Amino acid sequence: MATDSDEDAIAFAPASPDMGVEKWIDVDGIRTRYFEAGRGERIAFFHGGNTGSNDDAVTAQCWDINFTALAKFHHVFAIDKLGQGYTDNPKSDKDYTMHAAVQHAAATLDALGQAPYHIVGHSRGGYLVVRLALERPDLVKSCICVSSGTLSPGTPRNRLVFADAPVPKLSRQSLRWIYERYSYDPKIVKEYLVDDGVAVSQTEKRRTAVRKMNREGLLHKLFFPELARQRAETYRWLLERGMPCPTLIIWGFNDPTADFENGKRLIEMFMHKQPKTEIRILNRAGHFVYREQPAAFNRALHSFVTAHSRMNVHQ
Amino acid sequence: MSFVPADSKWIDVDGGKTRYIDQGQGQPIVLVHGGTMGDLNAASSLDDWRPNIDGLSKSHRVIALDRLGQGFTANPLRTQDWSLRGSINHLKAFLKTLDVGPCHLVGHSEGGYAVCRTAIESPALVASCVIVDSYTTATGSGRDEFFAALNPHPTGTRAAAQTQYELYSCTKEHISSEWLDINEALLSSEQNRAARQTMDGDGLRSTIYQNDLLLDRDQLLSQLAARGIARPIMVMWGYDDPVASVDQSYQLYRMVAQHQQRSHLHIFNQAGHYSFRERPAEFGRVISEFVDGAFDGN
Repeated sequence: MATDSDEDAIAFAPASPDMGVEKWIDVDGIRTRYFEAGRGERIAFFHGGNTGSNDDAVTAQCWDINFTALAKFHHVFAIDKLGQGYTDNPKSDKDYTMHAAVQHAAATLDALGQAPYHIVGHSRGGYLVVRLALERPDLVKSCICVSSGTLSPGTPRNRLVFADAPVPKLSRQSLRWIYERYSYDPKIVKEYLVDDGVAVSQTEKRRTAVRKMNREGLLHKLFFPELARQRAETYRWLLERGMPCPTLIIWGFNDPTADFENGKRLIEMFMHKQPKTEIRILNRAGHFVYREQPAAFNRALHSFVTAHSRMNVHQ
Repeated sequence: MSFVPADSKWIDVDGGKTRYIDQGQGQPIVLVHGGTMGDLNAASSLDDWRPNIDGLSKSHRVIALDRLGQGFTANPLRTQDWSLRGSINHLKAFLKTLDVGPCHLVGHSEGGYAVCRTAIESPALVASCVIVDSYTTATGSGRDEFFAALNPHPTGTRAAAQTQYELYSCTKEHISSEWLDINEALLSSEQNRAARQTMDGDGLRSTIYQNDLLLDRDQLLSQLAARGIARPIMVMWGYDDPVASVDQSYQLYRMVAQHQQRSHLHIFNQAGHYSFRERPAEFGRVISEFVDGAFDGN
């Protein structure tokens, strides 16, 4: 069609997976890895998964094709969450929780400075950014929550979908199988992402976290009960006071784990208070909607962030 | 007619004088309003889009027309054209006469139905389509008859129009006196009087319009379910639309998403049936983003 949009189309197309040199920052004694690029509005990306998961080993790398595209317009950050990627494990067993991951994310933004940020979170990271906005509105300009089964009401489907995953878990074969099951089109699972997961899974700190969560039982003794309590509290906050900032919910229509039917029930709660709430559903996309429909995802994110960049949202 | 807005342009479409506006440069976006010929309280016209035109025309060529027998466009000449089919044929003929190449069509309510039909029947005229708050295009019925029955004011009065707009909306700020003025002018025009006489006095609303729509809609929904639309499509809705419920947006999206990879659903909070008037900044932003990215590769 018109040529003036061709440059745009190139700009929003998924860009190189090279996120640049990894950086490190000390966050209350937790050595935290992150990536940083570009200039302009500050956008922080938070990936999914939880520390010590034996299903997947997602890191900040999962955002690469979005991170590099958005870096053409904005100042982007992608952070390894507490105990994930190459960020240190929690210092004590009691911090193997989503609550601790949220506190660490907030402290990371404090340490990086120049708040507020537009915060983007996927899956468990979607829960994290919503909770972060509610707990620390001073840090947040807008919130983009992507395909978060963790935050949705109803039963998560992960256990069902991954019931017959190959063993040993976290092996190359098992990771690939799980990433493919998450996707609408298995072909989007690139070998370098599987490599990334394999490399993280082989680190000593990761083995420790997996042992604590699974063999030592912190997942069921601590992580899930704490998450259930805080999720109920989050729903009350959404209904009583609502999100403190413009909020965009993005979902892959074909997500086999974070089912959109549960997403609809979550959307009802977001819609209860904050008028500047928008929903975008993208088609032919599973759980990694930002990797399966990167151009559409990048455009939607860029447009939303730009619209909410100039205003002072806390006025 | 002294109250015709100054930016009106006129074009002959198959013998019917048609009003439209054409503003800005870039990829052409055609805005197609809702309602029916012989509207009783709220006479739909291209002026429904007033809060959107200036913003959208900064980056795109915005064309908006008055549909057949609505706004300041002439009434149908032939009996069978007192129908949504007649209005669809008029829209297609308008696009052919204007001859600006494939357009991004944005249709509200029954205008969304006309857009959907045009994309299926004449894809060469269509680059992409956006269906806004259109229960006619989705399954199930709307709540317009319920609200008509609820309206305490005499049909055709300014108070009845205002009440209808309020019942259809989530917020009230967009119900401007300018909008009520033009509605009042349209309802008092000779042309609208003639249209109401034909539709209700002579009974064509039931004998032609509704009969035709019943059959056509049955066919359209079957086609959508079986084959979908061969163009990028966005379903856009006000979460609080009291007339066309958000559940209908989910149903419509499910149908089109089966067949069209580039299917988007976008929902605005605290917006009713005129979501584009209640959230004009967001509407313009999302339409631009969708249109500009309609042919992105991944």
